[in-house]
Amino acid sequence: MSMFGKRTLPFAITFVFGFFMVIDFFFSTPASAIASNVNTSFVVVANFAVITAVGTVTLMHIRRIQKKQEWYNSLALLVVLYLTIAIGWSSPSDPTYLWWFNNLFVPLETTVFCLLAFYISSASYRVFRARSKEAALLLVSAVLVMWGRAPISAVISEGFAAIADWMMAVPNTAGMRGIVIGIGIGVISIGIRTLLGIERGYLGGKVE
Amino acid sequence: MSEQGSFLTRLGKMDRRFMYVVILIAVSIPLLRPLALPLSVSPETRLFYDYVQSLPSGASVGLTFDCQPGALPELYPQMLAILQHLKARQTRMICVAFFAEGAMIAHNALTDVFGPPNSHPNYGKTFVNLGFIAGGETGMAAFAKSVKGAAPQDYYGNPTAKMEVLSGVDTAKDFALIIEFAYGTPGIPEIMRQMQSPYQVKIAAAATALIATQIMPYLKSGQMVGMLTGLRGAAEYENLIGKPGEAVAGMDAQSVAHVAIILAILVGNVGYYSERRKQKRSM
Repeated sequence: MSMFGKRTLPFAITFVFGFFMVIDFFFSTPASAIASNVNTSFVVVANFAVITAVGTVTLMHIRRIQKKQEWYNSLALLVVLYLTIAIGWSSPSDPTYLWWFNNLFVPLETTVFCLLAFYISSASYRVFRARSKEAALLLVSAVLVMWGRAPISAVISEGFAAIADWMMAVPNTAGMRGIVIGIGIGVISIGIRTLLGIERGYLGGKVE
Repeated sequence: MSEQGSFLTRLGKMDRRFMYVVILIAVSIPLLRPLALPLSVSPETRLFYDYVQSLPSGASVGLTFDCQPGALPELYPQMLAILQHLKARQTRMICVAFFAEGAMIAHNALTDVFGPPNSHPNYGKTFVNLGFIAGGETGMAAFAKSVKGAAPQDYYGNPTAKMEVLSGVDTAKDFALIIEFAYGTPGIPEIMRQMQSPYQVKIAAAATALIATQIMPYLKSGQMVGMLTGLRGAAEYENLIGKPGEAVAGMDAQSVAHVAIILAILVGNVGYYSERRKQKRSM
């Protein structure tokens, strides 16, 4: 592909649409209806991206089956993937699809998530050690919040809940606010770099 | 003395499987024999409840089901309690999902509160499930800009253009409140950027305990009107609407599990300091 197709055209599309959406975000202009259509078009594009993703996953796992690299896992994945697509093909509100979702997907994913209770408790026991002043501070804070958030603490004193609420509302919020502001500045910076064509990572590699 | 020392040292090196058994017992016993522990209402839950309580009859409330089944133990009781409250307040409920699984989860929650949604006489009049909108944060932006444009059909394939529940609801600005069931991305930061900030719509979060710490700044800044935190938030809300259910029952188990974890941390530290003292002596 020529340099125009590889670099100039994607940059031009990014700049025009990016600039247009930024203007639309801050100002009410007669072009708002067009911006609305652009946004809706993206939803259509995102749906096509799902099709691409299914294709990529299929190709990757067919290769693994051919190479006999844990082929049984790849085969199971492909069978379940296409079975789910086939069942839900008519509509996601189809009763068979809902049965499949409620009786297979929900219990499996919920079980995996609930296993975290065991891992977190084991990890807390092994890792939460007061090895330094900072670690001790973290440990005391964690224990106070955990204790204050458990209703059993109210049996001894209502004050524990107040301490936990204060820790969540003041020190936690202060720290998180700093992180959120930092992320915001980072996003603005990366947005400007992308619009100006300095950031090229989204093109999928180094452009010659 | 040395025997006692070695016992204390061993406390810091217990097998992880022992911890798994302790947690299993700690969670199981209160579920089988509830302890009926008292439960206070946290300020952020009170704010959430008061705001919903202040909504006039017929107000349009958006509910975004942005979660996967993994979050359901915490979020599903919240969904049921909130839907019951909104139903009692006679508001309009417009459900949508920016997670693919959210559409089915919304269907299940509506079924539990109203019965089969699509055959309910008020479906399309006072509540609707618009289904999944792809695109993550951009999907949110599209929905905020044109509700019917982003969702021309509902989850059951009915056209939305002339639905009574959506009359007068064109953009995010037309919602009296949007409740985000938050679990990951897209979630609260995305809805703040695409709906709250440009359209000044009121947002309330019903979130897992894991992400509650991350979204607390939005509550303190006034961008969110309230927040439910995990199972505890659901239990508090169930008590506030006078319908104690699954979450209240689960709080005893969570409480005992917290105590077990705190004890494990203390025991681990006793073992750690005992070993450190032993090492210092031998030097």
